Amino acid sequence: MCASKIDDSVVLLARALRSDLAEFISNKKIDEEKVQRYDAVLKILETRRNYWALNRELPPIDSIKIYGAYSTVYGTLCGVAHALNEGIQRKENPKAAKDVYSIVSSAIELLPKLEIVHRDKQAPSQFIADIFDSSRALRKQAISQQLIQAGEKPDRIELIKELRTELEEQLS
Amino acid sequence: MTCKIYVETTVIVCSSLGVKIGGKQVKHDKYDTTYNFLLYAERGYEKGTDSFYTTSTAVIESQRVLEIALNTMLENQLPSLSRKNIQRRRQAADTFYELLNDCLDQMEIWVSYLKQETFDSRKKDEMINTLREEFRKLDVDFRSEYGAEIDDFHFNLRRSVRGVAKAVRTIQHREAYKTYKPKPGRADIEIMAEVAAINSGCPDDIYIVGEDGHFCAEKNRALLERLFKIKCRYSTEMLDGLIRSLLPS
Repeated sequence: MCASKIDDSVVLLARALRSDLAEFISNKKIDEEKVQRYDAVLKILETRRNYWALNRELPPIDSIKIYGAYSTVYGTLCGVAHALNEGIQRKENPKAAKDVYSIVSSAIELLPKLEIVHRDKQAPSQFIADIFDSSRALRKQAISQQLIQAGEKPDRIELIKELRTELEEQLS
Repeated sequence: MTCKIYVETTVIVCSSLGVKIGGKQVKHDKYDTTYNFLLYAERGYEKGTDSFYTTSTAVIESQRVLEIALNTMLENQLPSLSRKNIQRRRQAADTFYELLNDCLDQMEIWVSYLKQETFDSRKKDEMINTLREEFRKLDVDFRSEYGAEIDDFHFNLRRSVRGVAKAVRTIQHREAYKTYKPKPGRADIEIMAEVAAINSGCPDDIYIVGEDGHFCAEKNRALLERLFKIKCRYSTEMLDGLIRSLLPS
């Protein structure tokens, strides 16, 4: 599966973004081109999120996992941008960039697998399970670094009630 | 003599489905008992006592059951949700994803308090065969007493008549299930066999705690006690004084 070619524009862009960050840490310079590249990655990720929001091409639970993984990468990169911005304002760079370098790498490493699923619109469950595990690890890391927040959503009450009924069915 | 308490899938799942939203707690019906029971496992873990266990199949099955339930829910809701605009679809997808993560996070915490052991796979296979054979005999007895499930009939009943018959049969079966719950699933049998394989020849008191009649209905628990000296109990029974008598201090 991984041997076939994917549309790797977002993967390459994201890798370039990681290099930009490394460069920024070493020479403390940021330019217009780097900022535009960051924006371009975020825009593509937002399109992917929209595409996978309750998408019906995969079993629903798998779609949600892919949606969640794209959301986590997107949310993490947004959080990183915010953290870098604050660092610049506090004149604490490149410390702020060093702090987020590892999580940016983790987020970018998830992208090639996600793009394979996005291209093929299908994937073995184990492949999706691997993506889901990695995205959960990334999510935990991002929450602990306060780059994203685990949101509280009021309509989850109804969902939990419904899930309880479904679980009863499954468990019996 | 010490005791080993094994936690089965249903306890892990039920204790993972409870969240506080806006100060209001929403939870599974059995959340409180399973949660309170697993608090003993948490305390045991903190004190370093080796009393609470689970098996690899129980852990894998817990996640699978949760995902199947969520998948079914999504399948039911998708036709109406997918007609909404992208904003609403994203909100719904975010909510489902958060819910899945919350439940799995809680599940991981509980599982981290439970020890898992290795077992002899050949011994497990032997025990699976024994269990299948014994349950098959009990299933035959159950069917001869209560008749087949209504879904097993293939004759043409009008839908309404069929619905009433099914409801009546379901109530009858629900009562009967307190005595015996037939057709244990593949994972149930595997969990029983794993616990039996790990503890064959072990002098300790072995318990399996669950919320599932396949383990805890009268005849099911009698069978496991007769075959492997494993005692199956509901978490309410454990909380009802039994657990205090079993655990040191």
